[in-house]
Amino acid sequence: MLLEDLINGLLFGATYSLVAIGFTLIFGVIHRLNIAHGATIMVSAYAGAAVSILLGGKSYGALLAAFVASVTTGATLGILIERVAFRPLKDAGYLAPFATTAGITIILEELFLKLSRVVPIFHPEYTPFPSPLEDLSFHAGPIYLRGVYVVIFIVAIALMAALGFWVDRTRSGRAMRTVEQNPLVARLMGIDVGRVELTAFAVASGLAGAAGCLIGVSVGTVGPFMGTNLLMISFVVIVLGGLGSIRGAMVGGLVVGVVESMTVSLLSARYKQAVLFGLLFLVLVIRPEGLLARRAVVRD
Amino acid sequence: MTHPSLPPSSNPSRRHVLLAAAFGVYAMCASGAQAFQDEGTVRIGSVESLTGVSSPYGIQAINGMKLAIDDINAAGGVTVGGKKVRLQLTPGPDGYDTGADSALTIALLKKQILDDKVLAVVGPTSSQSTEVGFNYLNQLVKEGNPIVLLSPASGGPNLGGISPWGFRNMFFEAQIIDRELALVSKEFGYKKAAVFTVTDNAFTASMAKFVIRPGLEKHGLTVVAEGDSLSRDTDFSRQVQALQRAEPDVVFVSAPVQATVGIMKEAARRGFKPKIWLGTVGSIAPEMPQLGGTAVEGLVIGSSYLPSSEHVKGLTAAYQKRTSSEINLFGVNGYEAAYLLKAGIEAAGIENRPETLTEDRRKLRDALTKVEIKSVTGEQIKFDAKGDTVKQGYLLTVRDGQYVEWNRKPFR
Repeated sequence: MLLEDLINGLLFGATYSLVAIGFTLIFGVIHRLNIAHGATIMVSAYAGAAVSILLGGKSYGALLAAFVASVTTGATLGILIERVAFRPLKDAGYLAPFATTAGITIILEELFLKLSRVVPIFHPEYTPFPSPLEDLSFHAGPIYLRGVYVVIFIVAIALMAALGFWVDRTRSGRAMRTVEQNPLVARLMGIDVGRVELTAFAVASGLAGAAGCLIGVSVGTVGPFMGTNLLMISFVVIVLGGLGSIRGAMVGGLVVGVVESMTVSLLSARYKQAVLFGLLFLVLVIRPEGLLARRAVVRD
Repeated sequence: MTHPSLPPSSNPSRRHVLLAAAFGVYAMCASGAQAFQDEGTVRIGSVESLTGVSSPYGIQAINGMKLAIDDINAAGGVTVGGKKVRLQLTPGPDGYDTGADSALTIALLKKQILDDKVLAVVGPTSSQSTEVGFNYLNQLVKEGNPIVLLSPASGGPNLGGISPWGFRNMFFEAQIIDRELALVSKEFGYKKAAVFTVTDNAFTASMAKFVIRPGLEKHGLTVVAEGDSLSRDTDFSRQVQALQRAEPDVVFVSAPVQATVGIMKEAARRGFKPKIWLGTVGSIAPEMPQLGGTAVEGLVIGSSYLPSSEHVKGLTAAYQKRTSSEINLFGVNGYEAAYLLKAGIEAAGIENRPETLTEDRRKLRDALTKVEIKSVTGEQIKFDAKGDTVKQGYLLTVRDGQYVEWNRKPFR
């Protein structure tokens, strides 16, 4: 039973990794938190659900179209958020984008609350996200697995691998890492910093879109406030893994998934957040730079 | 052109004049230029959650309330001092939005009393805000400024009686749950039960603690397993695994819609089939049968009215026409609340003048404790000693994607 909890925690944790990677990618590049990341997940999930509903929802073709719609919506929204909430505030204080993206979150949540009442294919509280994966489950020996979690895990790992390849091996990925380390030096080297930032937003928000679709499929519904909780969890994930560390976010998401799963199994769902934040507290005390971040070198 | 008598810096531009005019119009609206007996209106306030997580219930309640106010006014209004006056929702068009924030609820309630000068206030939406609001009424009594607070949507047990000024016309399920548990225990012979609770929701947690568990115990059903989750949880595999292992006859779900759908879908995936699933009104939403599909077929829930009843057909159609959405129990209660207030106002003998407002509020409170009306649902209702309405209720089940009256027979 514990093995089943461990495996299910790992599988579902991959979604947290996907959410957190986008969150930390933006932080790594512009050193600001994008609070609208959760709302991006929500809007993308709605886009995927709408496409799935309109295409009948039970075929793999519809699911693929929904996934593409979610990723595209996420990336587009990310670009808009960068243009509206970050770029005009480049020289403003550290907390300014925090406020603007929090405002965008509220606007998007309330907009979708209203839309869910007037768009005929949506429902007032929760809108279904039909998919052929929802009822899929199987046993691997004594272990019960939900098919959708396995798919989420595979897709999330594939996306993370693609992201890793892009960051490490491509010219634009290396440009992004240069901007991450020192925007001034990057500019002096002829890198278009603004373009790199925009690309980071598009990629990070595209990943948020993918996460939105996968979460919507696993739950079977989407709702206007689904992003809020995910944002909080991804904040824990990126602090655990190390702010700005993509690998840290990958591992952190899996750790959080397992911790949640084990807590529910061994204690109760009501202690989930207490255990999670207790763990966060411990990490901040023992290794404040996060589990996988490089320790800062202090020179004399 | 500038005004000659003003220094240059004070000369009002065209923009300033327009702004001042707009502010004046706003101020007139905000203060309710038309109000009280001389102008032929009675002001009713509202503090519902129109945004945020409780908004699906608050929006239903305010829409139902507005429909009722329109119907009452179209029929001539309410009779005060022998004169017909109109009910006026203040501020229009939707009252205040608390966003399910208890602190904001208190601030807005105070504003309704002191600034808006309303006779009574409808709301709040969530049980948590209602508990806070009712306790605040006791403070208002000490300050000499109490007001009737009538909540159409909060159903948490043990909130009635907190304040003599607090009323609720929600459907309280304790009695009908008692009847259904007697049925499954004595007639069906079920012995083992499991309870699944969403613990961070004031309504579902208190229902499980104060109504469901004591009810199971009273009727000799042994609780063999318990599961819990948080409102935003989306994975229920561990909980279902634990419940399934205990092999209960009955699973009682005290959870909002999404968790109810989530746990029943997970149970269906795992092939977990208790003899009966029971739920609370927390699980009622028009879209629930569609969201849950075949997994929620057979779930039994109490309701204050039959959706298929002839009594509510007109209201159902009017609500659909007005809002392009389906009415549910919270919308019906909002509608009913306006008629309870109408009956109270007409029985209270209020004078409806600004200088008699405090005394009018007291008269309305006293009158509400005695009024009895025939609800839009066809049922005769009144407030009990704790300020709650007693409704007989119906047992519904989900069959073929619809809520229908349960025939009170075991499913399996």
